[in-house]
Amino acid sequence: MPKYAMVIDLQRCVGCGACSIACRNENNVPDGIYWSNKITETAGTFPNVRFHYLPTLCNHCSDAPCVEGCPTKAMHKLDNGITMHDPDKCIGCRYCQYNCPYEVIYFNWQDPHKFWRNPKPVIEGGTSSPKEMAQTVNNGNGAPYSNPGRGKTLPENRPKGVVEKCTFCDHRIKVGEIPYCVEACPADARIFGDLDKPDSKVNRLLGKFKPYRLKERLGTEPNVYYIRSFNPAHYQRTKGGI
Amino acid sequence: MEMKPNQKEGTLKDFLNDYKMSRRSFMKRASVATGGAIALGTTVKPTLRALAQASETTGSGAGEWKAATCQGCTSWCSKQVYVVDGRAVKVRGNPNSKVNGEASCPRVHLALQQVYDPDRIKTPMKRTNPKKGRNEDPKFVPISWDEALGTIADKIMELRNNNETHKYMLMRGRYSYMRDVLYDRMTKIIGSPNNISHSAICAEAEKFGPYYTEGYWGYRQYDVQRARYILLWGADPLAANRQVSYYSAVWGDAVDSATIAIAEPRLSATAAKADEWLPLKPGTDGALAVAIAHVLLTEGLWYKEFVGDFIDGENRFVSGQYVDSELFEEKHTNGIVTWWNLELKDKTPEWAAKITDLPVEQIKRVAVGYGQAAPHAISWLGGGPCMQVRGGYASMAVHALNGIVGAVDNVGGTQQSNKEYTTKFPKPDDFLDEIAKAGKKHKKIDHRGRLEFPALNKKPGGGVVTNNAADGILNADPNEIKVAIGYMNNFAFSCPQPERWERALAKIPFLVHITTNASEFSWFADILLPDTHHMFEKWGYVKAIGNGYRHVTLMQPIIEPVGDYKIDETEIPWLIAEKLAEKGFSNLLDHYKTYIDPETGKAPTNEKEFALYALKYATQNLWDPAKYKGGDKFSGWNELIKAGVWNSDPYPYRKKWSNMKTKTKKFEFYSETLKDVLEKHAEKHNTTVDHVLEVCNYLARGEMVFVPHYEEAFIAGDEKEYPFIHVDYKSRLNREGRSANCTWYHDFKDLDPGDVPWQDVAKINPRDARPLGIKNGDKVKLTSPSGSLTCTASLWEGVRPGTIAKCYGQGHWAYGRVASRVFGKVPRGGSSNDLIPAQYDRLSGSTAFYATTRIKIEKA
Amino acid sequence: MKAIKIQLWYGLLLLGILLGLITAYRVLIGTGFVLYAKTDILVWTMPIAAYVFFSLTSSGLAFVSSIPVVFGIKRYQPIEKRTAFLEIAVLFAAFTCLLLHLGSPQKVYYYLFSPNLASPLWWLGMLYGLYLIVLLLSFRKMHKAQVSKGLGVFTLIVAIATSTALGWLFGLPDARPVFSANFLAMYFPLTGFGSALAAVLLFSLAYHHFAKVPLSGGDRNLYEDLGKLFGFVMALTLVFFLWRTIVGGTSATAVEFGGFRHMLSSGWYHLALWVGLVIPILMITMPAVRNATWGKITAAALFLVGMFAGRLEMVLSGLVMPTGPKAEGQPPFVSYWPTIWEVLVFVSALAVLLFVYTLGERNLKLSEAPE
Repeated sequence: MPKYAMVIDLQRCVGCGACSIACRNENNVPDGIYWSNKITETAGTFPNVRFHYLPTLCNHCSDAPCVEGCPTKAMHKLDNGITMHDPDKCIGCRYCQYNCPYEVIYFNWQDPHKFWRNPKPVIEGGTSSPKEMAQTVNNGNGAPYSNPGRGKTLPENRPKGVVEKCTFCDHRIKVGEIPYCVEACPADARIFGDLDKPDSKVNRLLGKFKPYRLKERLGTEPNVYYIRSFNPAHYQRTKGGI
Repeated sequence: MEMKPNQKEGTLKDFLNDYKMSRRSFMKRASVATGGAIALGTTVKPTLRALAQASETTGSGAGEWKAATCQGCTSWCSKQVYVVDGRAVKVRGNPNSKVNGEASCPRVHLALQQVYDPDRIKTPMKRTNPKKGRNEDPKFVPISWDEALGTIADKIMELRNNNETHKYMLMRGRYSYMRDVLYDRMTKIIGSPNNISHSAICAEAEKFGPYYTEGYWGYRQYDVQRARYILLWGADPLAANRQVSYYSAVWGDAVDSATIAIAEPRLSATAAKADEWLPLKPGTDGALAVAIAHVLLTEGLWYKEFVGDFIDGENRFVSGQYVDSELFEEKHTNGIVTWWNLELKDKTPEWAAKITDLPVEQIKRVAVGYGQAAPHAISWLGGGPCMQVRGGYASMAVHALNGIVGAVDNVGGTQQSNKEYTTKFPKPDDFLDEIAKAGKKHKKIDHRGRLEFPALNKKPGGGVVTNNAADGILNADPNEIKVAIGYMNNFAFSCPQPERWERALAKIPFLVHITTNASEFSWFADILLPDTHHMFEKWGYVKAIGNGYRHVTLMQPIIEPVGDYKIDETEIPWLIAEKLAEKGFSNLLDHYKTYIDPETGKAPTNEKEFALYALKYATQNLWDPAKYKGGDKFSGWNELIKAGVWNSDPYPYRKKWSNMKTKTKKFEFYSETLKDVLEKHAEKHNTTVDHVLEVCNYLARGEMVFVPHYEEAFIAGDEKEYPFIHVDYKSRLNREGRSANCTWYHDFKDLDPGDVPWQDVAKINPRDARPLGIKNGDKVKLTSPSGSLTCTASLWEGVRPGTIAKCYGQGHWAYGRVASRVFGKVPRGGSSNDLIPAQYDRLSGSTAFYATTRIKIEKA
Repeated sequence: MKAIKIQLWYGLLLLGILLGLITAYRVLIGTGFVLYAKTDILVWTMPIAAYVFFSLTSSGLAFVSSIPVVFGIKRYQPIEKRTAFLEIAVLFAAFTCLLLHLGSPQKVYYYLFSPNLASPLWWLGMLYGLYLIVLLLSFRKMHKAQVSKGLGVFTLIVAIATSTALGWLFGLPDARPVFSANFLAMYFPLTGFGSALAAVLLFSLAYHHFAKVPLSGGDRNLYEDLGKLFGFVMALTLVFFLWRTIVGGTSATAVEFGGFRHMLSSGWYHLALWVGLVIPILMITMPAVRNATWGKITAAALFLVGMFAGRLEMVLSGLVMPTGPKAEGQPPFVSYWPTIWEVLVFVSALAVLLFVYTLGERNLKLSEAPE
């Protein structure tokens, strides 16, 4: 069985967020929910200031607190290391959200893609209503551009009252494709692979650089690793001074 | 609405999919036919299915990746769209392109929300409220294509019958290279000089500097992977224009191999990853550029293979001292010593530090680092330094640095465009009748070429002065405009001081807008025509450069359209031509019938055939093996459209050294080319060059006019009343101001450093905000001498104190339910253009956006 | 006259329950949980705080009822039956809150079909299920005869388990270091006991007032006894409360205790401290006030109000400081104020409690001491 992991090369990352928008698209994630997300920081004061960007997603922890806390095993581990969620078993207690140290789980507070249920056009007869557009294009099944591929392992659009989060695009992995954020990253800053293959691309990078993971001291054993720095700027050699 | 059978799993589903597809297509065609085609007396079989490409079944469901082109910005990347059952589902980079390859910037995904925007107009409409104004609801009602086209043809015929065809005007916005069908041929054959493009609100001044130094009117390629120093000026290639996808792909390597410095008053996305951030005072780029040039020369860091050297090898460029030009032997450049003597000799880093408010050491450090990297040292000219009043000279100064370090046309430097082999459409000359010929002779509505608007695109009056057309219309100068068509433009939003456009458009008795959304421009229209979305529904092609290649990438209809859309640049002019022919004027249709299908030799018989044949005609050299001239080779049309893109041969470096399209064929530090064209302009107006410069609001006189130099920025507003300089910038999610109706735009707005989701923010440095009592999230009102807007304050360290940075893209009061707060009434956020006065860099004709106005900020 | 009053009372309670049903409809079937002031930062809010409040009170009531049953202190027998019935009524209130908190309560049967024994929440669910069964069983016994010591002990053990497991549930996650399971496993049963004493005082004295049953000498002694015990438990609670403040507020790192530190300046915290602890403790220490019925009733009511505020403060302490990607674009602390719908959750839970209790009071002779 493979053990999947992702390496994020922060030097390659340009902070564009294509990963997050592509993820919305691939997984039919409603507005306001971010399976793929980021932690940014503006450090320093003018003019000595920089902006830093750290892409985040579910860490698919080997020792996942969300899985441990879930009363009904809706949140569970797959053999390949993916932390998976089964909305059918989810009672919506949100204990996983409470447990996740990485804040990557979201709750469907309302019916998904509400935007596309609005029956009002802005110009009567001249434009569609969102409802009409969604109905015409895709039988009202979520957004008009809803990706049917997502429906293979999860409901294509998750209902109200359950949580959802990144699944490493398990539906794509199943058919031999890499996660969509990896594919969509214009900078190739995301590298996906199998930790159990000694010579996999991820293992090569993990052996070459000092990788780090988020909140390692918690012992959750995340499977998303970061290497290098978002801003590897040169600076003038100095010993400082008093 | 047609219904689909429920989705079933497994093979049954696949089976049903096939069944469904054919059924759905049939229904769709039937409805289109009854809605439009039959009414027009044409029966058309959509070519869509016939063109279906090799299908690829993936984990994403049964669908196909089909080639497309993104025009979300002017990177013009080649893309592929995943189409499931006639429905666009996702987008990725087209691996066949050597310019962008598989890389896709973030904004491309928003195209999906654009094409399925519920607020797209789905049918032609007409205005029923005869009163026009910002506060007048047009009361649009749906009409048939037949009625819409008939009305338009009537109005054009009226002009023709009255011999006043020059009162017809065509306004162009986002275009493909099919543009000439509508923009050029139709305007000419009707008989008007008034085809006005948007180019001058884009970046003409950015082309001005390169043209008057190296004779190249166009955007440059930057060879970042082989560069050792990348010095950017108001350019943000990781977020905005151009080749964002390509540069995003290689930037992680560039930061390793090159030192990256960026001059920009705002910490941009690119500045976030830079080695040096030079947050200079807005409008002082020219000063920094000439100071860097000064250091390069005094430190002996010019690239001798390109510029040449002192005969005896001794560097006589000493601060403050004149140099005898006889002592310097130039190789591929012209006037380095003249430039030094006229401008550079006193422009020390100390001098520049006072003007730019940057530390002297930083200026020196950057200049020396840049020079030491020669010739692999890029001076990257963005819109920032030059889309300013007097920006033309900063454009020259910044680009001239490439000349000093020999980066021009060189490895690790800047490149022009590669050769491509598309062909122009058939000439219209034989179809111009006497009325047209007379009409065409009138002067243009934008005043280009007048004394005060040289617009020197290669020749006096060669360029457009887009934003001034509003004043031309308002003052009926040189004449009134009676019938106007605009397509994929939104001048009432995208031009500074748009209130002028609101009044101008309201004044035009008959205005047609070809558009996807009912925009601010549409608000004043009499007829709205629903346009196709370029990426999914249109035939066309565009050309773009990057990565040492040029690609020609195709647009094709690849999805089932939801509304009754027609292609702006081909189908609609054809349909108008048909109507004109019906009404007794067949020249236009006759002309269009000369666009024969190169494969079959057939002339088009309807608008769909015309759209396709025109594209095949223009691209024949690319796909017809018999006409092969270079680059990618294809076996025929079908292979080209399947690939979606043609790539040129790789860039041939150093071929233009001493072979440039300047007067001297050299890289001109002293621009004989500019001198020539300015003298021609002065001559035309019986005056002196100095007087031209005076009228056009430049400070240079005499010989200084012909060298790159620093001119103090011309910024509106009194410093006491308006303490801040306005800094305008572009979002990495902007699709040229057309993505504000996409929810993803707002949900991800904080991908722009310092911005906030679902807000339109004015970014202010905390040390400026504190004394004003302004806190994060406060509603604030920004006011300039020419207008005001209301938005949200964001306190951010990445803004230069004394400036307020505000992103362009929001502030729509129409366009759709998301873009506006109340459609047709209340904007969401505020448009920067409401602050910026209509000002120009008159030499290039460009509209000024940057360092153009001072503003004040108050709690709203 | 009396009948009208009773009908009015029932009407009021039924109205409360109806509002709960409307809330349930709007939240579970209609608009959704956006009606609550919840976000993906504040994932748990007032419904959960109310649940904690009621469920711990119920456990505490089991401790009170175990005094005569398990520990054989016979003078507590007169309140045994009322206490035992209150346990059930209060537990119904707790379940009401839980029902209106869960996103998909219709799927709780997966507790049985897909159990996760590693989850505190699973254990809690199972324990509360068991608790309800045991309570119903022992009440039935009590109604007919003496509760066996064995059943009493079992009830006590389950009550200890539920209240401490709730501490486990809150305190376990590494994500919320502001909570310590060790601390909560003591604090929860203690405060539950305090809430129970307050509830018993309140309901018993209310019975005497409304039923116009004068207090006998034995009753007086018993309630005085209870009052003292209540005072003692409140004092102990205050000590724990202050230690929590000192540890979290001064001696720990700001990042991990930031949420709690922020809540120190909130109204909820001060309501819990001053209204819920300081004032009632002062009242109870004064014999004149302690011995007066109004004094006991006021002190008990204040303590319960403070406890409720304290539960909410505690839940919020773990959530108000956004971290990681969810902190993007957020202020350092998010503010919270319940929506009308969240208030209705509490109101309807209270209505359920009072409705069940009133039915019991009127039909089951709760004042009777068991045989």
